[in-house]
Amino acid sequence: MENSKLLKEIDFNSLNVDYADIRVEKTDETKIVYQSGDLREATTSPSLGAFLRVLKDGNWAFKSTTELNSLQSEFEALEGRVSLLPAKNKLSWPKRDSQHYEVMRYQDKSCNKASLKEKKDFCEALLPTLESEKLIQGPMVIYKDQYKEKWFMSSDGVSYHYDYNHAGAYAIFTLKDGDQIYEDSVKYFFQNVHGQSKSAISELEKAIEKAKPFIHAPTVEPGKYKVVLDSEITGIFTHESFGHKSEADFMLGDEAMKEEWQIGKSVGSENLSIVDDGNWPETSGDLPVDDEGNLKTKTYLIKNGKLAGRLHSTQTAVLLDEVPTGNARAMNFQYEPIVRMTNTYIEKGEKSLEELISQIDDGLYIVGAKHGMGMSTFTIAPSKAYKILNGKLCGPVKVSVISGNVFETLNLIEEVGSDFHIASSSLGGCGKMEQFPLPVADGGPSIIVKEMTVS
Amino acid sequence: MIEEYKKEKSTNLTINVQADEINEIREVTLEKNSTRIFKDGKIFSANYLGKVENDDLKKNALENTYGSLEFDYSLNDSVVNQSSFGKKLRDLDVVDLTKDLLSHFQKNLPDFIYSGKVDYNEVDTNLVVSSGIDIKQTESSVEGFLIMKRKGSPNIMDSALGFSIGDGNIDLSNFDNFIDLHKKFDNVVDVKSGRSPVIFVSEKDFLQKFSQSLSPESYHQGSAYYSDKLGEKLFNEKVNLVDVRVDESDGLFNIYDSEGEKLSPELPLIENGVFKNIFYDKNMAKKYKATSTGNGKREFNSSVFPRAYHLDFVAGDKTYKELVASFEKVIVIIMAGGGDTTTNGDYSSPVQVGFVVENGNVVGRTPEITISGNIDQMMGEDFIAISSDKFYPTRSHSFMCHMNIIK
Repeated sequence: MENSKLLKEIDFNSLNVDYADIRVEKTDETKIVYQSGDLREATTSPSLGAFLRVLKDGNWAFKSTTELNSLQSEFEALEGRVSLLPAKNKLSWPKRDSQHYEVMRYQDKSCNKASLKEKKDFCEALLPTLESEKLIQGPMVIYKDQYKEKWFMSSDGVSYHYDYNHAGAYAIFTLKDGDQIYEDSVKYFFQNVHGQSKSAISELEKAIEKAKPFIHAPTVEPGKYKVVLDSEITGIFTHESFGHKSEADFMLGDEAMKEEWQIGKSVGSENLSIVDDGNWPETSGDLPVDDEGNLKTKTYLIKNGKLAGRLHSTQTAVLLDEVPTGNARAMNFQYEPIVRMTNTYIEKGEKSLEELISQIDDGLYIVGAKHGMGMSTFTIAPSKAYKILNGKLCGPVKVSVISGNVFETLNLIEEVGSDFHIASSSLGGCGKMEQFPLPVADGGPSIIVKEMTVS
Repeated sequence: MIEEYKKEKSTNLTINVQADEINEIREVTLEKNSTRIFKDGKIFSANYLGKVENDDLKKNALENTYGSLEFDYSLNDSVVNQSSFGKKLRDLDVVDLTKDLLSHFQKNLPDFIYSGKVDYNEVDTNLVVSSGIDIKQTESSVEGFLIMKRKGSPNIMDSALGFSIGDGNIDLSNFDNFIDLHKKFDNVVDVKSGRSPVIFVSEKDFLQKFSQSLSPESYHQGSAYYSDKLGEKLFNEKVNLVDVRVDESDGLFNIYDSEGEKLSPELPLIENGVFKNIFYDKNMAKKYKATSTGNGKREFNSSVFPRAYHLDFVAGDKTYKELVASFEKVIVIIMAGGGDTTTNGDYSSPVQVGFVVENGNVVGRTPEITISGNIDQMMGEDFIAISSDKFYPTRSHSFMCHMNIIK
């Protein structure tokens, strides 16, 4: 049966619950792996599954299943299962207007428009460049794509049907000269592989040349440095440092935090504005409507240095007496939606990257990120770092991690550049609780941070 | 032509704790199907998350010609096994276990807000290969974690703990050391830059460069940090590291790999400081003229790759408590997440959650500090000991060494 019809057959009125909804996801994914020139994997993975929720007496019961022929009876079973939990009655579902959102943007250009052969051809086109460089050992090319259609219907009359698409690859290489090693990669992101090979090869050639000086680069002297972060690092910093703190579920149950974390509180430099916005088509954080049927809004988290908002699901908005922002997201049909980011970025300023670098007498220019993490101390493992002396870029240095205290660092942002880029990824994503990786994107301009711990 | 079919039916019951309340229950029932058809020197594969007939899978696999992989090794035969592990629990048992866990922490550490999950998993797996493999396995296990946020703290989390159990029973006294440390959470003590004994209670992020060297492609291509070092004594002779496949009390039930290879409970990787083994599946073993170590693993929708099951150090002579009491001052690392290791083996990480113990007495929490060391030295001249006991109810022994502290 067609999935939209499947949902329409659900009789929500027969359920003795406060609220119920169902989300059906149909997904096609492809993964291709070349290792040392050999094809190691070329898999296409289709799936179809549903996630059901009921809310009763303040508690939730969820069901995820690949069996779509007995959805009504699954809802009835949830009515019973929710009673296993102690009744709290703290959470009630807010009144919403009936609404249907139809946002099908990718049917004509999805990754599925390319065949498996074309996807393999894209990967194979990168191999000669990797294999012809004598210093490269054991290169890998990993390609991954996903096209997903989602259908949703709730007991309060909200429904949606939208699609999501991304494709991309990593070319990963290790340069070895004697006993000195340097690992690097090039990340690609697009909607499908058509017409991508030529620019991808060119980008890879440039990346290999840029990486070579790092083989014999000295390791940085650990300590505090004034740094210029490129837009990719700015994005990771934004996501890890403040994005996660803006997810409202972390405030639940903490009365002191509600008092402390008031909108309007000064939390950063005056030149700092941070936004979460799902309305960026063709990014990996693209989200027109969230997984419980709330339209994603452009949400200022910080505006001109002051706390301006936070990210909400319906539940956190009700419990904190605020408004849902459309940030309830689930990784796939196996999980419940929780508060997550979409595209998170720092708004750009006026000075060019060259002007930012020229302002530094003694510091580091940090470029590209391998991974990041944010607790009270955020950390980012950068791909590359260069010394800056007297306003000019000097030689490369090997850096393990850069880190800092979140709140101190937000106040140490001295300059915000005019360049701007949102970095998407088809392979990685954000992890929270057990849900990893959720596609998100982040970015911003290059920025100057007065002091960061570098080691 | 040889046909392989793998079916995995799983039911997962999760109880969510959110801000001190048990308010969500989730059941996930999945059926994962996959096939690999070995024909004319090629492997043709297909998979489906959901119910599907084997004939349809086979048809899809044989049509997936562009997804076929080279194949030139022999498959196992005469492997028939039926086994069952773990203890089956009722829904209410899982709810009660969650209540017990939460109330234990709320009683002992009342200044924190708790969120997290308790997961009960039942999995039935059947691997049938026409070369002569028929392996049926049923297993049940419980795992979970709690994230802790100090009331009034601006942080998204201030500490965390995890556990995994195979028999459905959790001994809450196994969290005593964790609780003792966190009773001094509010007392942030001064820590000076310089050298100090450090004990990682469970985390093994610093092993990143060693773990990468266990990949046969990286190792043999020369791109791994420890390429060409197999058989050499690289570390302190008291360093023993294994890949754990079976430990029923901790929910590790791997008696066969994805290629039907029978597994020993543990594979030694470092033995008395000597680099003993890297991982091989059948394909890599053939390519590099070695023997499969039984590390051929695959998800229902992936190829076979050589992968670890569960890395852990072999127990040493002294308990965690004895180790931290044997120095005037020790930094206890609960969480050092977000660190990285350079290509020179230099490891560096901020301490996300750490404590200071002086002569065995918990003094307080560390301020924001960074730890750094080199993996060769951490497991070599800077090595101190591995604990004889586990810090959490999960298979992980504590590792102690000297490191540099950067304030």
